[in-house]
Amino acid sequence: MDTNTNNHMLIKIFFVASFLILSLIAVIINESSFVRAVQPFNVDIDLPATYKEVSSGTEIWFTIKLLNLANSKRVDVTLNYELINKDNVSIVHNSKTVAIETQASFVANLALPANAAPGDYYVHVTVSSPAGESTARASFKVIEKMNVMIFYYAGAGVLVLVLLIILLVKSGPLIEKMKLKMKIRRIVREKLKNK
Amino acid sequence: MTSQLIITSVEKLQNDIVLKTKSFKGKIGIYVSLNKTQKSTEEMLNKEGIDTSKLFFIDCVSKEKVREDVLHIGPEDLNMLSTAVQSFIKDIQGEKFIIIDALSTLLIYNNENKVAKFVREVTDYASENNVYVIAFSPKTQGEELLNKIFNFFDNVEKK
Repeated sequence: MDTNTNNHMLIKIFFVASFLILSLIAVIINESSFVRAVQPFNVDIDLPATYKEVSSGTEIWFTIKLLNLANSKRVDVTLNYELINKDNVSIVHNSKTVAIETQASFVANLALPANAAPGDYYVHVTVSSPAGESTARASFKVIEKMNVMIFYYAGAGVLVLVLLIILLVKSGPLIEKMKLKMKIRRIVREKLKNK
Repeated sequence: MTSQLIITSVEKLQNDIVLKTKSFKGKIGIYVSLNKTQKSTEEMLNKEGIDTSKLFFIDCVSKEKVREDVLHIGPEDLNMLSTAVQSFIKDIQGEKFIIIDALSTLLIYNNENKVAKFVREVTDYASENNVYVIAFSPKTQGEELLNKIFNFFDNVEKK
């Protein structure tokens, strides 16, 4: 009896253990599927250095690089790209549908509104596909227009200054001639006053 | 005739200048002095009984400013010299004459072409304004230049 009881116990333990192991495997497999469903694509935004600091009204160009992690067959995906402010409010948005097999790059642009306040902003990209959504973001800064313009004004100022100096040097003989003419006029007037 | 080039010997140069200046008695003149300072030229003319009160001197020898009514222009600055002569012609009303004493001196400081250009500018402007120009040059100096500028004068007198 004892031997039978022990065998039954062992069999039960074996089944329970098997069940637990199988359940664990199932959970792991499901977990993997879940991850794949959440981020089916690796999304990368390439924002050139020239757009890291911009003034309002600038058209921002960037490249969206997609890598199909599932490495499955060709699928149509929707690219939603937008500019969002630091409060996560979308201020400009656009989208397009593209086909992707393993990997692809797309150039996109969004115009920053002329009234965009200075501060931190993000280019936010969402890739939607039947397998799920993937996102990425890249930050940039909007600075006051004056800060950018001041370099142009300074440059223009220097240019005007250089032109003035050149003009002054070039007109030197002309000024000398004018002085000479005025002196002669005075000499003639003085000398012939009493004649 | 409004312009004359007188080529004479060095010995006779001073005498010829005196005679010519005397011939303009009573008229207003512009004297471009390239050989002597204004002071010594004026002394020389006064000694010969010439009234210099109606002469405007451009002294190209001395840079020292002694009198307010005398211009000092370096002989190398033909541009300014030409401007000064033209300004005097423009500002002096009535009949007037110009004496250039002596043209060949300019060759020491400038090349022939520049001097020729200067002569042309002065004679042209004088001709347009009916001003008599007499330029002197010693016989032995600047023959190449003289050949270039003969045509700018209405009359060339070789003594």
